[in-house]
Amino acid sequence: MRNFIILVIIFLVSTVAHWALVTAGAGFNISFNFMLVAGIAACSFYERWAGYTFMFFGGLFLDFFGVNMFGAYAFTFTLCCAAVYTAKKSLDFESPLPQAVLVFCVTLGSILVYNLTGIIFLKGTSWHGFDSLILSAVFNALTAPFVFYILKILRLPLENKF
Amino acid sequence: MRKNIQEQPYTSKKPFIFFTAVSLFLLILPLRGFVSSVKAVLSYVFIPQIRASHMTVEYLSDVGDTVKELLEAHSENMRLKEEVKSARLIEQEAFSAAAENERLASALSITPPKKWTGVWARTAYRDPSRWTSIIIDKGAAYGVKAKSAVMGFDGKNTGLVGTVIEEGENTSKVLLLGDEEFSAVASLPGVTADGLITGSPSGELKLKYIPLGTDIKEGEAVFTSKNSAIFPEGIQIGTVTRVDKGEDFKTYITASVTPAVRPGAVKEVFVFTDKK
Repeated sequence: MRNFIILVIIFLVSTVAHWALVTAGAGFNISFNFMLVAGIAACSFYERWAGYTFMFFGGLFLDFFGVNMFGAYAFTFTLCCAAVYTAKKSLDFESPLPQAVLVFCVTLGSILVYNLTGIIFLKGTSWHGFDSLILSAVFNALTAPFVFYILKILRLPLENKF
Repeated sequence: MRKNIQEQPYTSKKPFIFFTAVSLFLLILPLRGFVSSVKAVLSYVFIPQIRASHMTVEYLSDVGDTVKELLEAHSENMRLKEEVKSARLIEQEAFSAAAENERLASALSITPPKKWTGVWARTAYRDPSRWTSIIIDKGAAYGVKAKSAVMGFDGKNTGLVGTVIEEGENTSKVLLLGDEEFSAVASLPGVTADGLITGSPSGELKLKYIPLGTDIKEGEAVFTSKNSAIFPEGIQIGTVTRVDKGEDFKTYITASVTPAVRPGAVKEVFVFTDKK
């Protein structure tokens, strides 16, 4: 129950952080996908149902602002979640480098899947070019170790935190 | 980096199938109807967070301005500290000059000028029915009385602003020196004869009744005279901007004087409570 409450709080805080970073980054032409990073971190520390639920609702949060498609981000994030759980079988995400590499790869994959979904369901894409693709993945990868660390701390029992 | 596959305790594909199916279902639905209802429900969940994030961004964007203000305040503080040092030096000089003046006055049996005592007040509001007057937030409770002299500070200069014409318990009305009914006895350094300062609607003051032949130059400072019944000696009124020598039939000189402080710009005033 405690972990569930923590996960809900992490989700709510992630939505605020995501929107704040998107708003702040827009001025510098930088796109963060904080929700995806938080979702990947949640998948790394929580069991499947919790991770998938987090990612699905995280995707719905992004879909909420969409005009032409609804469910594309939820679908993309669900696939990303599957990729994370598959990677989790053989990789250890304890150190920052694998965390950053995982987020980098999943971000690239998510953008490609989202655009592919757009082609299939909307006959159109929201493609912003390769520069934007790489930059988004890099920025997400840079924030990943920090987000993983926060989630790891939050998951620890209280007596082990300090 | 590699982990043993056996360590994974739970590898069910149910959540993946369930959430993929739900998201695909949402994707294939038309945007009207059910999807709008889902969006409407989600708006109750997400909009408070969007508002919170907007507030966060706004707060963070203000941080830069706050830091800038703090840095400016720091540099201003440094500059003011230097000014305080200079002011203390001037104060010391003034003290020694005043002491010397007192000694000499007592040796010559002359009554030395009184020290300026009074209260600082803020301008409360301006009376629309009489625009050349202001209401200040100090009254009889603080020793302010009718005909008290009022000095003002407009942010740069200090100088005569007017005189109290009505006093209440906690407020007073000050007639500004731009009013046509205002008048004060004035003197110029190095000139023995006094003149009379009067207000005018243009805001420029008139210095009248200076005897013919008196040498007045433009740019000279004008002060309150020791012969004034109301105003303490030595308050700067303004500076001479134009001298009108007059026609042949005139018996005195009139000069235009620009006030040292713009009465309309004054926010704080010093009211003399010790009458002459």
